[in-house]
Order: sequence, then C-alpha cells, then structure tokens
Amino acid sequence: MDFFTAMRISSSGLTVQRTRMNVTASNLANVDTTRTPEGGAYKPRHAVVAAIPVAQTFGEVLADKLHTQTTGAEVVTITADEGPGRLVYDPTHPDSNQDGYVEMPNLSVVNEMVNMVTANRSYEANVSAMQSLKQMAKNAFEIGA
Amino acid sequence: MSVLFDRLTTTIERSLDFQLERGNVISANLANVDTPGYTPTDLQFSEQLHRYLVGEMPRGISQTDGQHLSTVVDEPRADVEFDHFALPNQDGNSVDLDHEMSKLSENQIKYRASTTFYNKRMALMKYAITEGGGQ
Amino acid sequence: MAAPVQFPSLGPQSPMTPMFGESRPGGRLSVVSLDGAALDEARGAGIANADESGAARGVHKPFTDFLKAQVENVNSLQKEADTAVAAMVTGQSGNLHETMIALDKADVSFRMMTKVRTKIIDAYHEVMRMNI
Repeated sequence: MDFFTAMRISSSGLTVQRTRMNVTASNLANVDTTRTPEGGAYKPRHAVVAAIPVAQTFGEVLADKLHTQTTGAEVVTITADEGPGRLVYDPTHPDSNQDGYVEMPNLSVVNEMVNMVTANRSYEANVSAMQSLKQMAKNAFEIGA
Repeated sequence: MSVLFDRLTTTIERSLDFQLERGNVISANLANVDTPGYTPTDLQFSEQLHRYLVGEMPRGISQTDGQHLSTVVDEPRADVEFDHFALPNQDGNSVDLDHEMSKLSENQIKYRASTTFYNKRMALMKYAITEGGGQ
Repeated sequence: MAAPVQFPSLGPQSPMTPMFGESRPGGRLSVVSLDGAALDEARGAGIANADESGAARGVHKPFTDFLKAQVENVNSLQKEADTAVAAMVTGQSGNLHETMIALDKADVSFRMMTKVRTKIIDAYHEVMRMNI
C-alpha cells in the first residue's frame, strides 16, 4: 500500500517503452543498411520485455499486507534477428554478390511504424498512470485540512 | 476519543487503502502492456467492504457461547483476481490499454471521493467541538 | 444560569471502547453534553455495546475511570500519529493517507478532550458559585 511502489512501477514501464522506441528508431534508421561491422546486412533488433518484481525496502515488503505482488516491466535483452536477410536483385549495387543479389535487412517499415505508435501510446499510458498517482497523493495531503 | 470514530469512518479508511493498492495494480498492468504472457490483475474489495460496514464479516466456527473465541478477524480483505477482459494477443499478453486507462480514471475519482468524504465528516466533528461554544 | 451538566449513567460497559466498535443506533455516549450536530451523530454511532452482558448486573462504573480510559485513548492516538509520521519520514512506509488520517484523528480527539476538560471545569465553577 504504497504511493512510491506505484511510481516505481510506472517508471519501469516508461523505461521499457523508451527502450522499445530506441530499438524501433534504430531499425528504421537501418532499413537500407547492407554493411555492418559484424559483416552482412543489418540484423533487425528486438526488445524482449519481462515482468520483474519492483525493488522494495524491507519495510514496504512487510507492509504489503494485501500481497498483490505487483510487478514492473523490464527489457531483459535486445536480441538481433539472426535469420537471413531479404535478397533483392540489384547487380549495380556495390554489395551485390556474384548472382547480383543484395542482402537487405529483413525489416518491414510498416511493422516498425506500428511498433513506434504502440510504444508511444504505451508511454503515454504510463505517464497518465503516474500523473493519476500524483493527483491521489495531493488529495491525500488535503486530508484534515 | 474512540466514541468519535465509528465503523463508517473505518470503512472509508480501508477503502482508501484498497484504492491506493488498486492504483498500484493498474500501474503494473500498464507497465506490462508489452510483456509476453502477462495477464492483467485487478483488485476486488467492494463486497468485502460492504460486509464489513454492516458488520456481517463471515464467521468461521460457530460460537454458541459469548465466551468462545472468534476465528475470524473483523477486517475486510481485498482479493487479487485475473482480469480476463481481453483475449491474449499473439504474444500471450492480454492487457487492454483502454480498459486499464478507464480503470485508472475511475480509481482516481474514487480515491478523491473517499478523501473528501473523510474530510467532510471530520470537519463537521471539529466544528462541533470548537465552535460549539455556549453551554 | 447554565443548565446543569449531565452525567448520564455509564452502564456496565467497558471504558476501553475499541476503535472499531460496531455501529448501532441508540448506543450510549457517556460524555458531558456538548453542542453540535456531529455529537448527535457520534451518539448514534459506535460504542461497542457491552450493554447486553452488563445490563443485567446494573453496575455503574465511576466516571473517573471512564475519563482516565479516554485520556489514555487520546494518548495512544497521539502515539500512533507519531509512529505513522516517523515511518513516513524514515521511508519505511509510503502510505500517505494513513499518516494523514492518524494525524487528523489525533487532532480531533485531542480537541475533544480539551473541550470536555473546559466544560467540566466550567461546570465545577458554576456549581461552586451557587449560593446555598
């Protein structure tokens, strides 16, 4: 029963969404990248999100009489898609192989745009949650006034 | 003095506690809107609060004599339940963003309502005590 | 001429009335009569009615015992408020409204006690001024 637990949960959500935005931005920027330091075309990145218990002080754990065990979220890892890239026939391209095919990143701009929009919406939702909680705290301060 | 604080006041206090915790739960659902396999939870407490208010907390073993010990603590409980409002998407995540947002607004309003009710009751009492004056 | 102060008979109830006593209309409020609508409400609200068990006996507890118990109650409310504030500032508890409510209850109960004390003293003076 804690104002600050909820704030930590919401901020973990905000971090997750921001990371997803970064990943999406990186993918979108590299939609035509055929050369990477690792060799080959750019591999699309993907954020893996997991639910984690929010770190609480011992006193808060004791006070959690309701045992709701709420969890925040966390980006556990950012994986690269190891599958083969898209082969596009373009013999004039400097990176084309002997058959004239260029390996392009296996990305869909449309997918990434959708990811961007949902990350944005989720970010706003978490901001609303935090604002709602701040408002509740203000109301609590007015008790007894 | 304890005579001032009756069961309704205590019910209001408990409802504040529960609503705060429900805010936590909703925040957790929102933070996990993209976590694969996550099912949103919700907190149910209105039935328990009502029973607490009217004094009908469920009894454990029956007490045929006034001196028997009661096995039930006279406190309302909030139950955590899975909220199966939406179907899971292909990740296994079933958080409905709009549903959670509307629950968030509702919770905030109810919290505000509870604090206002508490304040009004106490203000009346304080007025009586300090402004009563006279004989 | 002030109305004579009422000391209603306490009945055989326990002076240590619990905070969460059951709310029953017509519960007896054993305190010096004060003004205000809230007192009517408080009168109707909760003292844990030990009337059933004691009514048969019809024993009256001294008023001083009741007063002492109420003062102890006020004291314990003050202590609870202190504990709540301490927990809050040391970061052990994040429950804002619990702290605010504890402070508010301590405030109300203390004012009530002060007012009761004033009334009792006024009543005493009034009685002492009577010409016999």
